[in-house]
Amino acid sequence: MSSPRRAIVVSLVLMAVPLLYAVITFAARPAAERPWLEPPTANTTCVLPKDRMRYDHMGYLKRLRDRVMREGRREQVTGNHAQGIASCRNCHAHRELFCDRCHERASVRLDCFGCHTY
Amino acid sequence: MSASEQAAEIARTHERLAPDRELLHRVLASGGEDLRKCMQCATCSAVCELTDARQPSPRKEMLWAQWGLTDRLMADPDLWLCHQCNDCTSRCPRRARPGDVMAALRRECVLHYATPRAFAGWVNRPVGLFWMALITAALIATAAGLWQAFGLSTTELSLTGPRTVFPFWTRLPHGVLCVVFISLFLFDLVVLAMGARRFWRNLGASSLQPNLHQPVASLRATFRRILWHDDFGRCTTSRRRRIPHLLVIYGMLALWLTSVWVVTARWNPLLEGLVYPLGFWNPWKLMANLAGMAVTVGLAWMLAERWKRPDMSGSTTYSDLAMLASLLLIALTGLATEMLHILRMEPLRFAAYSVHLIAIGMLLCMLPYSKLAHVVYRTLALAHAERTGRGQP
Amino acid sequence: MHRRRFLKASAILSAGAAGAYALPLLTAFKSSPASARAASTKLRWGMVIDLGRCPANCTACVDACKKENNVNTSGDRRLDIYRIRKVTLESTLVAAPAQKSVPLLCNHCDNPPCALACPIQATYKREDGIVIVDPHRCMGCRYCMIACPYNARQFNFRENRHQPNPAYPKRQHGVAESCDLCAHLLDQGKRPACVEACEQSHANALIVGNLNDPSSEIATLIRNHPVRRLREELGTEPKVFYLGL
Repeated sequence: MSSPRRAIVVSLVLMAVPLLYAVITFAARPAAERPWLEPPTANTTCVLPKDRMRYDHMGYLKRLRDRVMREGRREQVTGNHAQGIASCRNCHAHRELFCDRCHERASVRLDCFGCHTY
Repeated sequence: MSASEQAAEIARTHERLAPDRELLHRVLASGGEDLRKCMQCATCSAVCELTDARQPSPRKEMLWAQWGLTDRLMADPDLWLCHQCNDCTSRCPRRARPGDVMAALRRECVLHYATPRAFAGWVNRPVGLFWMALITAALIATAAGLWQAFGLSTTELSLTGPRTVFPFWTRLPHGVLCVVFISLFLFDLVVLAMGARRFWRNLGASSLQPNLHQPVASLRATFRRILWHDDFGRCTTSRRRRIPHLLVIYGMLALWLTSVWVVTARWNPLLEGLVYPLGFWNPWKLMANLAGMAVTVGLAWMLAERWKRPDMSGSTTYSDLAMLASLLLIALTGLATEMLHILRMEPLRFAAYSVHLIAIGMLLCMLPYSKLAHVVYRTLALAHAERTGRGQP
Repeated sequence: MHRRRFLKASAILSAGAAGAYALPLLTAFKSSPASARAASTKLRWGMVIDLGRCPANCTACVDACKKENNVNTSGDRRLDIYRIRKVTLESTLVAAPAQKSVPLLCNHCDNPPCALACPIQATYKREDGIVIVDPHRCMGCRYCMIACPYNARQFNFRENRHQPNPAYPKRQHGVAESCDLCAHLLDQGKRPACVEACEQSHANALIVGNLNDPSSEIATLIRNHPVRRLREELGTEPKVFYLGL
């Protein structure tokens, strides 16, 4: 192969290097694993679907708090089908095997249980 | 035979020529001044390495140009198989400079297939540079203004603060740039596609040889021919052009790959977590820097060759300079922007970047009407040649 | 004929003008807050404390409140919290010296200075008139404690380790606290803990009811008996009425 041809081949191969680098670094990244969470004990469904609850449980609790405290509407936290933070334990019995797992992994401090019982 | 029968016989066997004197004058005015000195000795065709033996050029192009036979010239693949190695010019006994005539004819071919024609003429004059710069600047400013007016911009007036002379330059989100430059590029694609379609049809219609090879095989052969720049290598006089041309096109290919990759950054999962500006040793940054330097070196080399050895590179016209100089301006301002960013010299950096953007806009404005259109036409001519087996030794 | 027509016309015109002038007055009366409150049937909680029935040494309400609301009482009187407390008031009249044991609690004023003082509206007046602290939002600046003219507001200076009532949350360290008339019980139709305890101890001194309902016990009491409120001259409009103060 003549010298310019060799140079062309080499430069084309080198142009593929950044792409390979990007692909390899992406593949080598450790997969973000979720910790094992204790499965719920009851047969009933949760207040929200799983994915929504996962990212929105704080939003849900805040909206619930405003409804209960500011508007005085306690229908969601009383009775058999209570949906407040105190009733989560009906299905998720142990905080250490459920809430704390993800919160410790994500390093997000749990404030709730300083006042609310679990 | 009666007079009318004679006339019918003549009409059947003879072709009526329609010489276009305007074409002749235009060629004479733009590099082919010595066209009429040609005595059709065919030394040029004998010397040319790239011509087809059965239809030798540039001799026939010299004749057609003297007669102004536009139809034949505009459908002639040999015009584009010529790589202006200037072997013919250096050997012509009359100094008719067939190489320069071919260059002028190629310019005419680009203008012929470009639409709209008025635009093309205007772009190829020096005053067009000023207007293209103005139009690009106006386009970018309008897009940025509209972007902000519709609340799409979230960037604040940045570092230069109220002392900036042109505040709108600092509000250039990626969306604005994408909109302006992709629109210009699409416009270019449309014009080039229209010209390419007509050119290909004319090539096929005027070809006297049947299609010898399969389309896919001939496409592969064309691709390889361009990849290795073999035709440049068959030159003697202008042999030195091969390497700078390789540097420029592969440099631009690498820069284009980097741009496309970076533009996808927002949606690209492979780029997640990347921090901008990229570090110096990041492979993309390295490749882009090397490519920018390669482009600069190649263009500077070509300009130097034209300046120091005009007899070996052919005469340089406005069209050649416009292409080389605008590309060089883009490369230099790009590198300057990066350097100024590293040196944290903010107002200058924005000035350099603004010039860079305007230069790119100008290039895109004139792309389908300038020498850069050879990307399309030469490729099509090579594909046609591979298909019909033209120019094979 | 002309005079009769003239008289008729002027009578009609003046009646119309009077009506035209009267209409804005009517609407003005209608929209005044006092009459609006009197006319509406909206809930408005209030309390009446009959001091004649309140025994001096009884602390049933205080203990019940502590138990129901998980109030932080660890024995240190400077730091303990009392949502309701018994205070001994002495009359300084030479002719009729007397001592009375008075339960003091948050008066759930209609113009609550604590709600006005709270910079983030963690303390606010609900629509039904209860002044309540949102412990989630409270940041512990204690402006409300300064503002309250009745010293009814307390602060959690310490972590609370008691939870006698698991059904109700407790407050964290750093949050202001005050009686909320057991809103969590009232909202469910039950009665506040202090009222229940007072009834169970057969004193029946605390009565809670809807001030807006003319047939309620509390409204009747207020109508028929001389009631007084604490520091009425301040204009806070407290809703705890004392009989026999």
